[in-house]
Amino acid sequence: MSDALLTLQGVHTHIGQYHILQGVDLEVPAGGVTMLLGRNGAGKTTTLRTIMGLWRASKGRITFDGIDITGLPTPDISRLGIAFVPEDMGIFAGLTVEENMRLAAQSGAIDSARLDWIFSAFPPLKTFWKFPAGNLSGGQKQMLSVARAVAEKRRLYLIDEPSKGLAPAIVSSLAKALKDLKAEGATVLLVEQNFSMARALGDTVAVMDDGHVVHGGLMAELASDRTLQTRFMGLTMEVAD
Amino acid sequence: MATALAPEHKPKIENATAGERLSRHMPILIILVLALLGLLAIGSPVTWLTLTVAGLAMGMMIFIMASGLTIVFGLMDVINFGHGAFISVGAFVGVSVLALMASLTHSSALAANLLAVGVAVLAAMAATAIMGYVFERFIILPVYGQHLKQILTTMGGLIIVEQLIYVFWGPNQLYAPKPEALRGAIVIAGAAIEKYRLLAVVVGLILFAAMSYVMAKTRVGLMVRAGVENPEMVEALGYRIKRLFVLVFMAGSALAGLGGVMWGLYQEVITAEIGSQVMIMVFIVVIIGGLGSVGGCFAGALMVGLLANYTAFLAPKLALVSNIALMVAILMWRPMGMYPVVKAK
Amino acid sequence: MLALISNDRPRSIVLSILFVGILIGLAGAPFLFPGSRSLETAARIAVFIVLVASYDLMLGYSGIVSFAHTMFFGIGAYGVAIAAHALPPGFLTVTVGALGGIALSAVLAVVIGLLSLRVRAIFFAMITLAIASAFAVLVSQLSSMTGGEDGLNYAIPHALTPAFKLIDGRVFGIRLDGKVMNYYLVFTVSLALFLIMLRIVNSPFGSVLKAIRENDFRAEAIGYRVVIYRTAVTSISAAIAAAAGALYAVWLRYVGPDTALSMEIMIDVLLMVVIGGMGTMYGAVIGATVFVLAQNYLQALMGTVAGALSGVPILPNLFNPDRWLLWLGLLFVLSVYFFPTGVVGRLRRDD
Repeated sequence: MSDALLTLQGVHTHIGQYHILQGVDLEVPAGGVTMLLGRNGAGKTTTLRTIMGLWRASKGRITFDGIDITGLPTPDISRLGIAFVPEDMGIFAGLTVEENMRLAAQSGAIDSARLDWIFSAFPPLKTFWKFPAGNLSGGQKQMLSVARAVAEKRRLYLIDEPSKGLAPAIVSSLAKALKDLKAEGATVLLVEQNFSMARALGDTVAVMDDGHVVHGGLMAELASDRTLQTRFMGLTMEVAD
Repeated sequence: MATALAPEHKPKIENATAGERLSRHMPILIILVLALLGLLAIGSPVTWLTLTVAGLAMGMMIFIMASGLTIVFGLMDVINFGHGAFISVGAFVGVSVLALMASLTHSSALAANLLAVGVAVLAAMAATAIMGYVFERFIILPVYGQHLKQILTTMGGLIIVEQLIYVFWGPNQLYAPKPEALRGAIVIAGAAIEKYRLLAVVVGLILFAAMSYVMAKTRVGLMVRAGVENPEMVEALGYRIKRLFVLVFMAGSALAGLGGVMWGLYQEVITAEIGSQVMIMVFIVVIIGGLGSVGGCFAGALMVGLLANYTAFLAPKLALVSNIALMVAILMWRPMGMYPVVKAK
Repeated sequence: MLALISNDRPRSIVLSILFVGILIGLAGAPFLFPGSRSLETAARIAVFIVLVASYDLMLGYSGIVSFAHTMFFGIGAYGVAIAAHALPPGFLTVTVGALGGIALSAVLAVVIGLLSLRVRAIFFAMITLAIASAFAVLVSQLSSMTGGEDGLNYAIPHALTPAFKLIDGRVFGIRLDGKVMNYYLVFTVSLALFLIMLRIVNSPFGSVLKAIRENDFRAEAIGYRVVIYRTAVTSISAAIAAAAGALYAVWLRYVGPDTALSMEIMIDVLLMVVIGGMGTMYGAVIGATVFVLAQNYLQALMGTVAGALSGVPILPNLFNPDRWLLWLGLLFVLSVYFFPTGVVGRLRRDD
């Protein structure tokens, strides 16, 4: 097993009086896609936000490439090479698609080859380059949100339910883009409810429930073991082909 | 399996309907309608011209004072009820510095006068920017995120600063005479237009253009516009927006200081309360324009300025009340103001 | 006895002692603290307790920030003043004026409250500020009716003037003249209004208000029409403020923009409610008492200090009695930081 790029040890997060993460232990190996699965309310989004520093962990440690990032301010965490695609997409509606992308480029400008790749993966972004992002459809906004995260090469991508509520055609585009990312050796921690996508993309898997990680291992194992699936997620991952 | 990258998915952005387009340009229409109604009500085009320039000048000055408040609220979600203090301090510092440059202000050369005013303005802006930094650290930061307490502490800050003005400048009002070449009026198309008011209009336009440029074309402007919508996401993209907050607050305070100097010279007499007195108009403008919108603030300020001057001529007692009525009318139409910035939660 | 204060116990020994002390002090003021200046202070305390408590009803219990409160106080005061100015002196005149002011305040509050339906809390605060300022300007402009900047002097019922004698001779060394009668009118009405407010905040209505303050979305979801409750509390609060204003007008025999409408009074009220303790009612009692006493007697102290420092640059200005507000402001800001629950909160916690 390759070295863990990201490690969470005993992480607790409180939101107000709610104790959402109750001791999360998670290892994300470098290079590859780790799926974060679980029912609604298990704490998946909270985990991503805590890693990103948007919510403060009340206990525990988060290590990224050997650096302790627990409690670091969000901009610093981002600058260490972690990109974030939030559940609500986080699009700046008043800015144009171009301006959204420009902001995503910490170095100031996007590498043209990379931009070509983004355009080929998400053609609507090229079409609506100069339009206000608020005018895009839901699927297009999601494309933009992912495009922003991948505008520059990052070490780790935290992606929260990118396919939620989207048409299958768009989900395909997303899946392809993620495959490309994987091919270039990126590490991705992906929260996803779409099982076919999860099964297709995931190398490792972590299943959460009630603020804990209750199962971790290889995706291949989980995908082939129906009993395991039912035990941890209450249903199976089989999708009628 | 689905392989083609959604080429049939031919997305269309709907063209705005006629109604929507009208709605977007409504603020400009309102201003024009107001000007037209003013002309009809006043009758004499010459008087109307004088009053319109006066209204535009007042509007510009209020815009300068209000712009800082609206951006700060839009970006930082901070209510600064003490904004008037910066206006007052700006007025006092500016006028005091101006008084030190008698040789320049008494000269009838426009260039010398403008130089003096420029220096006074820079001094006022520097003072209020520093004051802004202190205010942000001590009055606002400790209660960040708690609106109720912010209202209270900033009001408290206002009182403290006003009283300190009395401490340092004494209890009497200060005379703010305009420099020589800026006094009096010139005659354009038969109407007497005050020179100082023309200056105010010019300064206001330059400032609006500059602010629009910064917001639209610079990286800082980009960060501010994005931060107004979703500061969290801006941080997640790697920008230390908290540092930007302080700078924006200082800039907003400096703008208030600039507005204060101009307003002070306009009023010709200043007291420590000059800021809080004009804050009523500033609040009305900010509410009408929509918190966080520079364009809305500009449009709102022009409306308020025109309306105030027209009613001052037609029915003097109703001047302030008419602006309240305008505010209520606009809120009925758009409860969040004309160009509200829609915030992500 | 507990029923009288609606079971809202002070919950602190020190607070109870203070409260009883203040009650006794105010009840027996003409006898305990003879002299017109002390009576003046006592009456002012009584009126402000009511005014501040009515503001606490909105701010502390309902979470509504409004800067129009002193406007309602002023409406009540001017109601009495205008009536007494226009009509022959007598209790009927005063009542007509008071009721007129109270009714106008309640109605105006409803109108302003309905605005809150459409705008955010911050907007609401700013709007009330604008409206209150506009009102003040309007009052000074309609000088034929309101006396403008100079205000109005008028006659009050004879029974409340110093010329009136209830009985010949003295009681405990004090003449029971009309002024004392006037004072007891102020005192009893103030006490009654305060007890009524205690009743309100401890009633089911009060509980709903607190629920709305904590989480208005949830309250709405449970089924309470938040707008109705907020409008109702704003109206009640305004009516009581107007009543306090009417009382004050009867006491002072003079009403002017400075005494009834100025932003300074609004700031004072804010200070009293914050220092005393928001959302406690008792905070109003403590806050008003401490504030008015300090305002009267501390300013003299400041004057002495300023005198002692004369000759030093700038420093004497800091202690000029007119700079009272400077220290007020500092105290205000410090209270918001360090005593968010006010004196009452502190006392209750320590017990």
